[in-house]
Order: sequence, then structure tokens, then C-alpha cells
Amino acid sequence: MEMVKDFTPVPRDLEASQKIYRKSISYSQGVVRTLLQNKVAMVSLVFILFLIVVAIAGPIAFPDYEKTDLLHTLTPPSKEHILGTDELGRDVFTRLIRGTRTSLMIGFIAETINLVVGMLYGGIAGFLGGKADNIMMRIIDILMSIPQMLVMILMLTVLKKGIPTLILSLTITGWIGLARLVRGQILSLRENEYALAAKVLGAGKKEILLTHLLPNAIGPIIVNYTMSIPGAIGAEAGLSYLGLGISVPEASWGNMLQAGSSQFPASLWLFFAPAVLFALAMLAFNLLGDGLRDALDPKMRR
Amino acid sequence: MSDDVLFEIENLSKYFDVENKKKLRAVDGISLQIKRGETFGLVGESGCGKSTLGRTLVRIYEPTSGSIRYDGKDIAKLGRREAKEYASKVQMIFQDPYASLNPRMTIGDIIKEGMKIHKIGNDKDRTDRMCELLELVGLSKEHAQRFPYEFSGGQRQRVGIARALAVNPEFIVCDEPVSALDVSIQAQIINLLRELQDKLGLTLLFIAHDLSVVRYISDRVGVMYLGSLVEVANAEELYLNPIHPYTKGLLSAIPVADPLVENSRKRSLLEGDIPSPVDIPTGCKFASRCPYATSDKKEGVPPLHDFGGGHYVACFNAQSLINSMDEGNF
Amino acid sequence: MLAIKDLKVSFHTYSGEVQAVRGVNLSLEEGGTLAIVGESGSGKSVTAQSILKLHDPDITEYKGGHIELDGQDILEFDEKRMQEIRGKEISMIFQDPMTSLNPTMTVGNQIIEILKRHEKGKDNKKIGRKEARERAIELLKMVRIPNADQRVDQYPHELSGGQRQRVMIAMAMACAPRILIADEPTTALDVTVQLQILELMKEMQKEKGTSIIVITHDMGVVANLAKTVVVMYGGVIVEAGTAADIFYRREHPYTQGLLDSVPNEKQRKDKKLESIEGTPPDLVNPPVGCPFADRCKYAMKICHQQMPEETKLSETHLCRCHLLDPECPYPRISLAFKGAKKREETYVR
Repeated sequence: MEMVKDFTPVPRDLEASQKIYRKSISYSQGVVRTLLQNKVAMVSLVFILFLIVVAIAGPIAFPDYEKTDLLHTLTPPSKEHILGTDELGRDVFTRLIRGTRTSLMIGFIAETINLVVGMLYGGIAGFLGGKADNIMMRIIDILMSIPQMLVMILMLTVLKKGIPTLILSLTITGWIGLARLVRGQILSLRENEYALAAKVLGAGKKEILLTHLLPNAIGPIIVNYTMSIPGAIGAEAGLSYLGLGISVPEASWGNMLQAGSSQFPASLWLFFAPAVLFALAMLAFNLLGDGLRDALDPKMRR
Repeated sequence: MSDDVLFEIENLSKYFDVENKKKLRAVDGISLQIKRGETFGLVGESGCGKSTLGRTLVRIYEPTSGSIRYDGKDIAKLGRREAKEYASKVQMIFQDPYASLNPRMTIGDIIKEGMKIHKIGNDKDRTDRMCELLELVGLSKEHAQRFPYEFSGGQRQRVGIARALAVNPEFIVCDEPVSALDVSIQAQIINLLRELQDKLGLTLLFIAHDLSVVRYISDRVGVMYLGSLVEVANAEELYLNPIHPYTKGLLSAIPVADPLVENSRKRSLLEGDIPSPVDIPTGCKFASRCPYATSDKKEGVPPLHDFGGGHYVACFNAQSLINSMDEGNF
Repeated sequence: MLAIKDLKVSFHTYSGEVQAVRGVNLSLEEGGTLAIVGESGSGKSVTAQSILKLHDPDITEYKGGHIELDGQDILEFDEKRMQEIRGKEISMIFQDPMTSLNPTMTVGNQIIEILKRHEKGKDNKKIGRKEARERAIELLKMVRIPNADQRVDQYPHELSGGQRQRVMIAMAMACAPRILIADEPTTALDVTVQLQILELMKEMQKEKGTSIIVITHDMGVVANLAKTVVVMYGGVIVEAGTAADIFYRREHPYTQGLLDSVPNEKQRKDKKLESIEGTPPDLVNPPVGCPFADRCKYAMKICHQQMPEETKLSETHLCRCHLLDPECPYPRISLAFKGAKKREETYVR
């Protein structure tokens, strides 16, 4: 079909050329959408949410993690005990649920404390800059020079063993990494042209920090938080394995691993159940962290 | 154009600390007057300190020494309230339209930010004014709810201009406002700036490395080299009769969109690179690249000297260069 | 030697399919210099990067066409074959030499790495470290870096912007490629340094016979370097020809606008700059007609309705504009040159 050729002049329609056809999405909408598209991260997220539900509701449904049954010690998985029993006849499945609560709780609480302390410390240092920043960073250097493992072991040997002490030992120097990250972010964002523009407009330091710096630094902070939770859980496991962390009858992934390894390889289930769950949880947190990093970075957005 | 002076800059220096206790002398003893209502163009290669000078005027940086007087008042001695008032009178447009808008804020909020800081009007007034500004810079009010990433470079630069205008400034530092834009968009922004200047009676400091744009937009032009002004003159005078060898070299390198001109071009007059501003040579800073440098070492930096008609040159050999030009030996 | 035939490239993004390149034809001769001119989003960089298949394969779709190097279609090569081509047959330099050099390696080691990957030593065996280093110094000398034997051990941040771009050229030329693609090679540089780099590129070309594709939005660079020019807009070529065709016999309103919007000596200060108003089209929703129609001061109804065909004005000169339609009652741009203002006034009615 031949179109009629119409050579009538048309005035320029600048409105039309300025029009934006694409749908507008805000930053957070973009983050959610990128994350939803990342299958690995979504599977990890679902798994972590599942663990959290288990940690909260599980021990209510299966409260008897301390109950011993000396007639049925070290039984392999069966109908009554789907994951078998330990050397005192305690149900491994019930203990694993209880252990999930303990381990996740330690991970979340310790890292949330680190997040708050680190953000405040790093934010203030980066925000004040100059001499104050210098002094605050030197304090961090001094703290860093003390071997962290030694402090933790020392604290756990001297103080009463238990969850509070463990959390304290994980947080006493645990916030340093995040403080450095936040400070670095704030310092580099401060030189960004939009922060300078706010300064030129007469905005105070506080306004710049709250409206321009922190919202743009939040991405890496969230990623760091997500990726450091498995670190805390791992540290708990390590310390408990050494017999310094959570002691029986309380259950945690760490002390269950320790119990399992003492019966290794005769009663494999004792070791494998917590080991598999622990490994999966670590992997899920790290994969979610990776997904978040991609989603939160606008440059990675397509 | 009235001749009253808006900015009186005297012997201004801005040094930055760098490693090994050395100083980076970004701005090194500049004296300059900017008159009310004019456009002062500032050119030079990257690293010459032109942006630092602009940023010092809008108080992003505090000067290391020297003074800046705005409307007769020394800006270092302003009280808290006066300083805030100064921040509304003196604004800046940034180079990178991608980095100068907060990606988390909508266009509307970005433009309203300054009005909020200076408590201009209530929220409705600000929204009205914001819509007005959007139209003034050639965008539409439907754009207010959008985020910066949805716009092209030229549109973002318009938002940057609207943000600066929101607080009713008298003076705007335009720091390479078009160098990150496409050629077809550059002309739009330049036209917009000129139109706004006429309409609002603004004084502009126009910093750029694109010499042909500066020639077009500026009334007077200053050429900077390694933190110092080497030549200041009316725009046409500077482009038609440059005296300082550096200015000559710079002007000779302007690309021309004409193959015949480009193919007959002689080799660049300026060889080599600009020396590091950390280790500035003593004497004339340009001597290491200057084809007319004499071997007798003179002490100190050559001062800016008036060679008539407001044409200032900082060169020990300026007089002999002018003479040889007059004789047509050049 | 290199021919692009009806290339179509799309990116799949959240907002939909971005049709970045919509049917591009061009060819490059042995030893020739081709400039691709256009603004951001015109598809100029996408076209050039397709030659090396540098796009993220997850979102990129080559929807049609061929890129033929000596008659072989590059688009059908696998990644391994592409790695052999990149740096060896075709190499590329980018706009920002700071971000395209590795900051943790000395410039010498970066050149040596390339040589080791692609080149053989004198005895036709793997190239030795000592020999590679000597070659690296030679290359640095070739791009006129002073004190090359000391500079070879320096890190990128110790060099100036111009020297970094010289290093980039040295790296690109290390294996004597047949084609050098320069993506905005001087945009980040000062005019004085720009001139030096352009001179260097021309010398390299003369010495080695390399063909150059330069991507730029700066008509000054085009005038200095290019023998043939392709002007792209909205993912299509709107005008193509020799430098003389484009600079002195242009027929497309966009080419005209590009050349006009650079202020020259004759620009009067009391006059506004000629500018192309408006914004380039969003290629998620490419217009059915001429992509430039929205911003064109000569636009007619037909321009919004159908894409103009390519008109062959001479052996070398192609243009895509409805003004060239034999049935069009208005004069073409080159004829309307002097009367352009008058024409604009008639349009206002």
C-alpha cells in the first residue's frame, strides 16, 4: 500500500520531544524489582525467612529440647526421632530447632548492635571530619591492634558463659568494620557534587548528612550487615565448638556440631544435621548479600 | 553595563595538603575584580585551578590566604546570618549533571531544597515557585515527580540551573556547565543561561575549557595557568590580540569544524604537559613550555600588568612581544 | 575490509526493549579513517562496540545484520575466537584513560601482559619477559612518552591525562592491529593535549597503515581526522559521506544543526546560538517516522509518518531526509542555505 505523501510543514513539537515515556520508578522500587528478578537471592531470602519463622515458632511447637531419655541414646533417625537422638537420648530435631533460635538470635542481635554503634561512630567521624575524625580513627586503630579472637576467648573464660557474654564478646570490636565503611562512604559522598550543591545553598552539616549522605550510603551498609550476620553465627559456632560458647543443655548450632564430632563417625546424624543447616544458612546470607549489593547499586541496574 | 564591582578578589590563594607535607598550590595569589552584571570567563587547562577559584568564591573551600570582598564586605568576616544570606546570593552550577543531583530525590524536591533551607514561603508557595522555575528553564511541571536518572544530561543541567535560581541569586559560578553535554544540547544551555542573565540581571563567572563557548558568552576573559592569571582582557580583545604566549598556544589549539582549516593546521604551539601544581617551578610558571623563554632567570612570578584598555598580561617579555606584533614580525 | 550490513542491536531492560541500533550499514577501507558522529543515545558507541562484541550478552540481542571482517561474520564467532581478535586484529581506546588503565599495575606490565597474550618472541616461541619489556619501552617511545625507560615502571596515577591516553594508544597498538576503534579519545582532554593526541593517531596510522574508527560528538575532531563520516541519530544513519560531503555539501537538517551549534569566530555576540531544541528520542519507543522529526525545524507531516529512504546523492554521499524526496515541494538544505531564515518564517504560519 502506497501511503499518501503529505509534505505539509508541521511546527516543532518540543513538548513531545521532552516527554518521558518510560514509567517512573523510585530508587527503592528499583531495588525491589532487581531483587525479585534475582532467583538465587530470592531463594536465599525465602530460606532465611523460613529459618526466622522456625527460630520464633519452632521452639514453641517443640519445647522439649532438654528432655533426656537414657533408654534411647544415640538412636539413628527413626519415625519417633526423625533426626535420631544424642548421647543422652535428647531428640536431635527438637534441639536443632532450639539451636536455630539461639544461633540466629546471637547473629542478629550482635550484628544489629554492631550496625548501630558502627553507623553512629563512623557517621559522626565522617561528618565532623578534621581533627575529631583523626582522633576517632586512631582510637579504632588501637582497638584493631588487639587480637579479636584473644579478647573473645578471654572474655568467655573470665565472665559467666552464656548468650549475653557471647554477644558482648562479638560486639566489643565487631562494629569497627562497619564504622570504617560508614566513615569512608560519608567522606566520599561529601565530595559529591550534589552534597556540594547543598552546601552552596547554605545547608547545615546536619541537613547534608541526613538528606544527602546517609540515604546514599545506606546500600553498602545494608549489604555489610547482611554479610556479617553469618560471620557472627560462624564465630558462635567456632567458640562453642571449642567449648567456650553456649554450653549444654542449651542448644546452638555450634555446640551441636561439637557434640556431633565427639561421636563421629559412629553417629553421623549427630554431626550432619547441624552441619548441613549451618552451611546452608551461611550460604543463604552470603548469596542474599550479593543479590542486595547488585540491587542497591544503581550502576548495576539495567 | 555599570562598572561597579561585585567581587573584589585580592591576592587569593588556596593550597591543599598533599602527601609528604607538600602543598598543592591550586590557586596561587590571584587578584581580580568581577563587575556587576558582567560575564567573566575563566579558561585554562585542567588542573590550572579555575574550578578551585570558583569553589572558593561560593565558600565550598576556605581560602588559605587573601581576601574576597562581595559588595564591599569581606566574606570571611560575615556573621552567621550574613553568611546564610551570602549563600542565597551566590550560587553555583556544576559540571557533571549526573553527579550533581541526588539520585534519591525527585526533581521537585531538589529544586525546593534551597527554598526550604532559606525558609522562603510556605510549602505551597515553594511548589508554585518550583513549577515556575521548571518552566523558566524549559521543563514542564509534570517532571517534578520524576527522578534524575530519567532525564538526559541536558535536562538534568536545566534542573541544576533551576535549583540555583530558586534562592534568587545575584551571582552564579558556572563550573564547566556544558562540557559534559552533547554539542546539540550545549547551545541550548548556553542560550538559556544568556536569556536568564538578561532577564534576571545575573552576574556570571563562566569556567570552561571550551574556548569558543567562552568567547561567545563572556564580556571579559581571564586565562589561568598553574594557579595564576596570566592574561585578562575583554573577550574580543583577548581572542583577536592575545599577548601571553600561553594564551596564544591555547587559542591556536581550538578545534575548527572545517577539514580545510584542520588539514592546514600547523603543529600545536604548546608542547608537553602542564607541570604538577605541587612542584611549581620558580620564576615564571610557564617558562618550561614557553617558546619565548629567555635564559636569564628572573626572580618571582611576573605580575599582571595593564597594557592599556584593561588588557592585563603577566609576562616578563610582554612589551617586546607587543612590539614585535606591532612591527608585523609575528 | 570491514563491513557492517543492516546491523540491528537491542538491549532488554526493565523499561522494555531499547532499540539502540536500527539497521546500520557502513564499511571501512584498509588504512581509512571513519568517524561516527552523533549524540549520546544515537547508537554510535553501540555500533562500534558491536564490532568487538563488548556488550553484556545477558541483555543484548543482535536482532539482525552482519559485521563482516574479511568476509567472515563476527557476530557468529564464539567468545574464544573474539578474544583472539580483540587487541590483536581490532583494538579499542576509550574516553577516560584513568578508568581504562589498571591502577595497581605499572604501565609497562600492562603492555607486557597484552604482548604475552597475543605475540610471539623472536624465536617464534612464547615471548620472554625481557623481550616483552623491551618491546613495551619501544611502544612508549613510539607514542612519544618522554623518558620511556623510566616511565615504563610507573603507575597510571603518576602520569598526566595526556600521557595516560598515550599509554592507552601504545597498548592498543601493541600488536599492530588492523583496526583501531577510538571511542571519544579526546573528550576528557584539554584542547592543547587533544591536538597532540590527534597528531599522534594520524602518525600511527601513516606508519602502520592501521584503519581507524573514531566515535565522537566533536565536529572539530572529525574535521581533523576523518576521511569518511557517518552521522547517526536515533539508532539510524541519517547522513554519510566523505568529509567534504558532510562539511560542505550536507543535506540533513541534523548535520546542519550539529555544525551550527558550535560557536565559531563569526558568531555574533548579540545573536543567539543556533541550537537544536528538544531532546533525542527514547529508543524504547522509537518514532515511526524520521527520528529527528520532533526537533527538526523543517519537519513536515510525512516526517512523522514514515522513515525516509536513503537517497544516494553521489557515489559517496547518502542522506536520509524527506526534503530530498523528488516530490517534496521545498528546496533541499544545501539550496535553501541562504534562504533558511525565510523558510523558517514561512513555517511559523
